[in-house]
Amino acid sequence: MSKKVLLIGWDAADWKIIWPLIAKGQMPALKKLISRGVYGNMSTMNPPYSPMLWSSVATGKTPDKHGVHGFIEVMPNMKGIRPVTVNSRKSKALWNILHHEGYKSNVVGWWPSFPAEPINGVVVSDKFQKVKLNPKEKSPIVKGTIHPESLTKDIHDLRMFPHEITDAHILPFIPKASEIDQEKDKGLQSFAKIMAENTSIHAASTYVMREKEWDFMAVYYDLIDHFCHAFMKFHPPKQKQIPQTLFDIYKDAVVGAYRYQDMMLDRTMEMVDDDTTVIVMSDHGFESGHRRILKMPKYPAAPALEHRQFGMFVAAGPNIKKNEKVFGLSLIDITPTILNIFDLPIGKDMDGKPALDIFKEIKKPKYIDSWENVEGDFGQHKTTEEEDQLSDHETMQQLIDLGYIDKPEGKVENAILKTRCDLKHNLARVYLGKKDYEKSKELLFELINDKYPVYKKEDFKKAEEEKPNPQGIKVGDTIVDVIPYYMDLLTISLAEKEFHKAEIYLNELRTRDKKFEINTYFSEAKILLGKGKVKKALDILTKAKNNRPNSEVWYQIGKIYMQLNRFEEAKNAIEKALEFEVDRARFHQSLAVCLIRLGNFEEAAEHALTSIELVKYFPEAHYTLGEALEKLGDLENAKVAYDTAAKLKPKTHHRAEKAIENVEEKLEKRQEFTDKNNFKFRKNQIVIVSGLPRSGTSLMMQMLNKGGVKILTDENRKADKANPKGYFEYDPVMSIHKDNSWLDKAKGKSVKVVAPLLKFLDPKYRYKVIFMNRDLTEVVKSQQKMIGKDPETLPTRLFSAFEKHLNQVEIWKEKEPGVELIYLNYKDVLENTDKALEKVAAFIGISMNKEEMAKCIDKSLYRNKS
Amino acid sequence: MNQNKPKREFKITEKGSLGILAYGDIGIRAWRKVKKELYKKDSE
Repeated sequence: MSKKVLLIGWDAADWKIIWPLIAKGQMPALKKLISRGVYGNMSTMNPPYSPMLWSSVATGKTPDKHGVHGFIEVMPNMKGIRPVTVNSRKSKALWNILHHEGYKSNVVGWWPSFPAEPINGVVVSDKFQKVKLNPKEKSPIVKGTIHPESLTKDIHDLRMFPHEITDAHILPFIPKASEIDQEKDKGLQSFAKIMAENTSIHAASTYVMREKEWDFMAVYYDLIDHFCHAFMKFHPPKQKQIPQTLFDIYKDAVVGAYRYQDMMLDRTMEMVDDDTTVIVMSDHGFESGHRRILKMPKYPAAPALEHRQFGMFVAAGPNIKKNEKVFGLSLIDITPTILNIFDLPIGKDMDGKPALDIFKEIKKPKYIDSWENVEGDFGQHKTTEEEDQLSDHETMQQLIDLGYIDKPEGKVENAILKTRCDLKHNLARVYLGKKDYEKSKELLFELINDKYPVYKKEDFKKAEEEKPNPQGIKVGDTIVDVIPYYMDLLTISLAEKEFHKAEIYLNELRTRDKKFEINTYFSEAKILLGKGKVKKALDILTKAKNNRPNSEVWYQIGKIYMQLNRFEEAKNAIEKALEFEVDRARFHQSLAVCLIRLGNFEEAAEHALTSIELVKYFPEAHYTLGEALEKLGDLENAKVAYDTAAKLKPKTHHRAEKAIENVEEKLEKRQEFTDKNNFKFRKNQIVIVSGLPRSGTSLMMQMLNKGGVKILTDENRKADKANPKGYFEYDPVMSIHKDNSWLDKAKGKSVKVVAPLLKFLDPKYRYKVIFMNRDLTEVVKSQQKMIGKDPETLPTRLFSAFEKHLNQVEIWKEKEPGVELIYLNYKDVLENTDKALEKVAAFIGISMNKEEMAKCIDKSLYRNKS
Repeated sequence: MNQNKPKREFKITEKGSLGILAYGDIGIRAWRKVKKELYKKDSE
């Protein structure tokens, strides 16, 4: 079977634009490819900056490992900065590995690929297509642009120049181009540049495909991304802030880019054998609906805010399934998948996994510890190139025009300092994306604690001469803006539930950003929530929602209602969020949870499945699916879902493990269960005695103690008139919401936990909960008496609060697979003691000394009868 | 290369077309050749 693989990169291509075009027959080449292959979403990574992402595609690794941390890099000789080069990449790319294994690769336009690596095959680097805008200026092909260099003479004429663009090229995209005032509007200039560059890449690609032998071919186009950055704001539906005249002129530009890209694909497909595996993919999507940004925030790489989480993926070939949707793909999976096609080992240090789901016949993946440790010729550069020509004015200018980087500082040392900070910050964001908060914080602390020079009068004057200061920078401002670093620290402290620190960072942001333009209501609401101020948090979000409704604010409102166990309201809010954005995995998963709590298991399973379709590596969605299926009685599939959740979770998924045990037990017994409790002794089980205060919990503790169950108590609370035989309490229980690490000591023992604190029990243990019930009037009377109030005056507020707690216990019991719970009525314990003790002993699953237990009953203490 | 696919025929004008650009190296070279010939004719 042929092992030829063609990988085509379409930066920013998005299904949201593609599907309607396919439906209209306007992307026939892609449609054909889909019809004979698989398709799906491609998840992007944080931060979604293309050179970092395409390097992850090429290495199977996250940027902390591959080393490409941004659009620019500091030159090795420290003389300045330049567009990122292949020298930043510290890991071997797929084509390096293939070179070592004797395969031929052609790589065209990959970002970054300059200087071209000396691989077995051809590299036309990402500098090839960059030419001067002014036709009078020469654009020589510099050394390092093409490997082998001898190929330069054969393809130098394949570069297209912007001045060659004619109305025959423009009018299909911009039919009203003649109405453009080219003095004021540089739209056509951008158009010509993007078109020319991508046509050059395509011409070089078709040439090497035809003329050079290859086993692996990779070609990268930035056409769609650059068109989207330039013209997406004019894409239909018209946004009210966009003038009608401009909308009429540019409204077809984005669609035009997709159609031209499809035409190029059509030609490419003519040149491959039917037994070549073809992959077309993007690194992220692009916002095309209401989330489009009309006024870009003023910070570096802000345009990436328009990048959407999901890109696209299509694969077709001799061993690829036909017309199937595939799920859960990530950029880092591409290299392992292609290595698997070539029957080569995947590095265990690669972050991605082979996408085996796409294959008809699955080859068992082979593994190697790391390709980085393998000695030999990998077609890499021997030394770091330090030529001055690596600094590329044209490329820098394009990145500036796209808004990805600021115009470099006049002073080289300032430009270097800013670049270093940006790269370090990007790396911190990579760690943040990987939830490695410690490493992320380490870098962010370095960034906020560094001493930065400030702008002086002369810096300011010089900048003004060239261009009016667009950033609003003034004399005395530090050269490096630390606000983005504080924003990430705020995000981390919220993720780590360190609300006090989060508040400090939020205040710091408010102090530093006087106008306070940063949107922080989510952070503020989360801090308030963390501090238990639920109503205030809800008020803030409701205000934000009324001000400018969007998916995220509705979702956060829904999450708060979920915390409050108000599932009907939570469901409504999340459904609103989905009206804004239908393809957010988190929204579907949360909606599924609400539906389970509301008893609508079928619909819950559907939403959990949708969530998994969107993001496969989403353990909570698999877990929720398992819950829904278990409730529906489909135990086999519930187990599969729980198993997947347990496997995917980077840390142990305790709930999934417990749920798997439960389902396995049910499957073994194959009988109807109405409750999870099946009275089986479980090793290291923790017996919890719970209930509302004054509902007989101390009595039950005393009985268990006499019956032979060890008790976890510090005996700090002494017996008194209200409880003459002792309380059997354990002080750390009271602060279980802050620290539940002591639960390890409770294994095999019994501990008393009042009802409102049950939700803080760590799901990693198995619990047998004996929940003491007592007539609520009796409970309230007893409590009133204990605190010296009139037992005959019963506050109604207390009744409703207690009822709420009892309701929450029921919900908690249902959702925690590690919890088995029985209710025991206090009165029954006193009046039908033998039966009650039988129930307790059977529940705990050990033989108990019931005689001694019964001796604990002192009916004279049953004083507050209703 | 897939030999079974039919060869396409383009009428190449001086202004070119998206189709000819999308055809890749052969297209761009053919277009430039046409432009050059027309330029040569005009200047004769």
